[in-house]
Amino acid sequence: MSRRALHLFGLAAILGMVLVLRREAFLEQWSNPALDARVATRFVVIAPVLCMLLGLRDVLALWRPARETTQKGGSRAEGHEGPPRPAGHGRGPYRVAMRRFAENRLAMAGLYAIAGLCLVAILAPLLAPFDPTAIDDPVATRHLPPSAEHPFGTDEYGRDWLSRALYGARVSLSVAILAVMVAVTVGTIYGAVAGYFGGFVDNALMRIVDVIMAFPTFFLMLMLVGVFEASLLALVLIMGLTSWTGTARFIRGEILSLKERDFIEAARAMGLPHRIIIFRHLIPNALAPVLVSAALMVGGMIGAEAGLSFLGIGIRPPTPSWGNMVSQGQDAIFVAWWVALFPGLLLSITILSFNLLADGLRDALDPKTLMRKYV
Amino acid sequence: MREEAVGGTRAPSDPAVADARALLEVEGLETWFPFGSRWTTRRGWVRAVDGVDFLLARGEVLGLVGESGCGKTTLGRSVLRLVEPTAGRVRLDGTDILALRDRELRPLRRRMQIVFQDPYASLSPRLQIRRILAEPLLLYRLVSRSGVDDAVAALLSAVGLEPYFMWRYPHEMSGGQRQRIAIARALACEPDLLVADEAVSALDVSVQAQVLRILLELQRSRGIAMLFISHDLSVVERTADRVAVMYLGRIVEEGPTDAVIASPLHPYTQALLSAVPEPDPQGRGERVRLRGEPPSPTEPIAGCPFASRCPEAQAICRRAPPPALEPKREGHLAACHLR
Amino acid sequence: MLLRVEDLAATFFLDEGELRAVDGVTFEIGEGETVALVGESGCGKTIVALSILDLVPSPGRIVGGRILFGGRDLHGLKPEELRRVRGGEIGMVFQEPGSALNPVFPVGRQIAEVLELHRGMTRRDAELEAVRALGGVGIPDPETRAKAYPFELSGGMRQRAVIAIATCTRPKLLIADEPTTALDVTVQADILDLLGDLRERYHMATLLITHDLGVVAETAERTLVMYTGKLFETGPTDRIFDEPLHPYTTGLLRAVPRLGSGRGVPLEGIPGAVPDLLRLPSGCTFHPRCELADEGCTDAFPPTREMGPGRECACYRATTT
Repeated sequence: MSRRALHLFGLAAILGMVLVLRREAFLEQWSNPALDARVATRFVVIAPVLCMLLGLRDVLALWRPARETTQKGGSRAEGHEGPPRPAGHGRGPYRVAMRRFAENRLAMAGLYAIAGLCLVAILAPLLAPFDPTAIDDPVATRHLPPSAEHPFGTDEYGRDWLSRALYGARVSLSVAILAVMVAVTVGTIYGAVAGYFGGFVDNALMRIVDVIMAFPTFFLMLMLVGVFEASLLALVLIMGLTSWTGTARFIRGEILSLKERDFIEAARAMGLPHRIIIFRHLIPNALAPVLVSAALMVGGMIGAEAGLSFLGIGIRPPTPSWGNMVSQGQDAIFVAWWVALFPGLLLSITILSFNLLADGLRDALDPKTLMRKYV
Repeated sequence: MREEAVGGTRAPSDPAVADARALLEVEGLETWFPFGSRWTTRRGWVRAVDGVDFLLARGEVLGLVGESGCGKTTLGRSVLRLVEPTAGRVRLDGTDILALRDRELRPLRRRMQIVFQDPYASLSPRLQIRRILAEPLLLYRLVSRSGVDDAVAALLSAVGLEPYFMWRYPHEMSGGQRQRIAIARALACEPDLLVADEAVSALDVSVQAQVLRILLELQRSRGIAMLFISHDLSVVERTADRVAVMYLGRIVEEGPTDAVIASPLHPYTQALLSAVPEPDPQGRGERVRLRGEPPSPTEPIAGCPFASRCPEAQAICRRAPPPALEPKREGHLAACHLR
Repeated sequence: MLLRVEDLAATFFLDEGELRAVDGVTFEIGEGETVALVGESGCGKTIVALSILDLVPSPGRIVGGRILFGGRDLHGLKPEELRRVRGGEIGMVFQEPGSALNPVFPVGRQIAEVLELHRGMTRRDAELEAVRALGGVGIPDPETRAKAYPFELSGGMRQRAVIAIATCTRPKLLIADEPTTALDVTVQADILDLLGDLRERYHMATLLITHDLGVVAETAERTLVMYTGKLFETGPTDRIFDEPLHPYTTGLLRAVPRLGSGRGVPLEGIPGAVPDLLRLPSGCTFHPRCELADEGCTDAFPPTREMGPGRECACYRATTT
């Protein structure tokens, strides 16, 4: 516990210092219309809230000491002799999984890296030393190599590459996370409906999925992005709505096999309405693999956004994204290696972190490891 | 004639629980499952339950025995309409539950509950015991919201568990403990009828005894009628007032437990009885060996379905279908050419 | 002596702590002898079997003791030699006949594979021998059944096929882990008879692992009673059934449902449940469930004492008459 407390304290201290030191920059740059920053900021704020609503409160429970939950249980039972709750009891499967996850160093490294990247993205206006879009003297500051003043160097227009990378994190991460949320939500509902009702409904819905799956996802995205005006919101929707089929398929499979389990039969025998059976008994038991695949998908989505931007039809300059930054560096690879290298590195680290997170989640949520089956 | 035959078994062996009208009346129940579809070359029906009649009085325990695949589990679920029977009638207190719509049936479900075989599969792994047990209590408004914890604690102590178990999750409990929770959940609804589908078969013998005792105590004290499905005759013997032996979707013998165990009529029952292992290194009688396996339930059979394995089979057994279940002795019925 | 297990200990290194699944188990099996290992689930029986073959799953490990098979220390063998012993000289039958067979190969092929590997047969000879092996375990029409896939066979037939795989190399020792638990009573009786036949035919020793004393009585010459990773009582089966020494054995025996005891006679079990092996009670691990326990039982685990010919028991309160 103390180690976590220390981490939280450290983060808070850094945040506080940054705020005090760069208050003016914060107020000035918080909403720079040229950057689409308002939209991006709103997305970045909404994303964590949505995450929590989707059931990540269990993660927070990790930080709450066990005794506190005891008191909560006790106070709810106030007024009559509620049974005492012995320590160590009542650890739900998600809490067991999160504990297991917390012990996985690689996965925790991924988690911390992602947390760091998200923080950097949120605080980009405070951290960035220069205006990411300002072009003051293209001749004098053109293609400057990394130095103390410009740690990531500058590009052909003399823009500070570090500042652009920080703002790029905002766009790349928020687009990817939001697109995954769209995909997972649509996929889960679609798959659950198909699996639960079965028969004709299932057949019809899954044939539609087959048709969509017949097209390579990336080319579908390319086509749609080409057809529609590529605003940030449109990009998120296009990426999300072309990627939900996999989730739908395996949620359907999960629901189909859960439907046969005795506890669902027991719920039916008890006379519970369909609504409660679906939301209390079926979906919570199917969510674990969704969480894993969502984490994997974020990595894929960041790659897809980078791909689209690289091809020049995703995020368009001057709004920075890691994808269009790499693309810009491609032309100057022999003149200024740093232009392609730094955003490329950030891309790889982010994708790797999400994959580590997904692997850790998969191990932690594996139902077999929740039970000691041997002996 | 059919009515009379069934009427002969009406009186449960304990007169105190006898009731003028049976709680559960099952008549000509058939549950066939289709296999194949329009697009496959092979299609047809698996006749899991193929014409079953029985009566169950209030507070009575009917043991249902047979090998796996004989349709006893499907029968149990058909009676509760957890699977849709294809024909027949199931009356609970005179109401034909097969004729009801889903919406009309749901309130009746409180009165008929089930305990499953596998305690690892029958409890939702994501829910705390407290929520599992509170669910039926709140659904049927049997207690107020503030009284839930007390009611759950009372249920737990009824199945011999300490109240603090309400804070646990299923994965924190042993098989025997989970099975007690499953029993508590079924009893929370205050049912009149309980189907116990191999309720103790998955447990160790030492734990089996505890759970069985709890189940029977509660059944007796609350006057619940029980359909006790099991493949283990030695367990059924201690549990049931009457026994029905099932083979390939049909009941082949039915009667008071003592009579069926002491003097079985049908050759199949005799074989089942002699297969029960004898926990005594010295005393072990000769077994009636069964040859082969039950025929496929997808094909209609000309003669007696048991003829292919019966040690006493005659020509008539292979030619003509067996007679309907008919009384051979006082309250003891069998469906066999030779008896 | 065919197999001698000396002071075997196996531990699982879990996140929550060290779980001693097998803790100082010593026993012997003679040539052609059938020995039953009995206890409730969760007491380490299966891990004993897996330890003999050095197959303890991770995060478990054998942490002590020796296993002598025909005079050789099995765990001193090279991996290659050990593989020859597994499936060659020691056969194994598991509880679930469904998962012990590979679903995508015909059963005959699976037997032939073992024969090619362990007896160096050619493919054709092996397939012929496989048919013979299937006939030998009482499968009717073995030529046809050899070409059948596992899903085409019933549970009893599958278990017979598994036994055929385990015994086709004429092993000196067969380890059968709950071979009949997943089966119907009628089939269970047949499988037990089959194991008895095979033992006589091949002069094969058997280690039968089960929680059901009813099965033990019919087959085993000697019985080992296990609880929380330790042997509580060992001795000839008929003596143990006549006069159980350990209160745990008495409880197990009482819990076996017998036919003909009359309706309504309540079954007696053992109160309580098998403790979590991570949080074992002090002293004798059985004392919280034991009706004879007193203060003396809570201090130290009772030593194993010799009580009569071939009988040993680890209990302070056990006495012979």
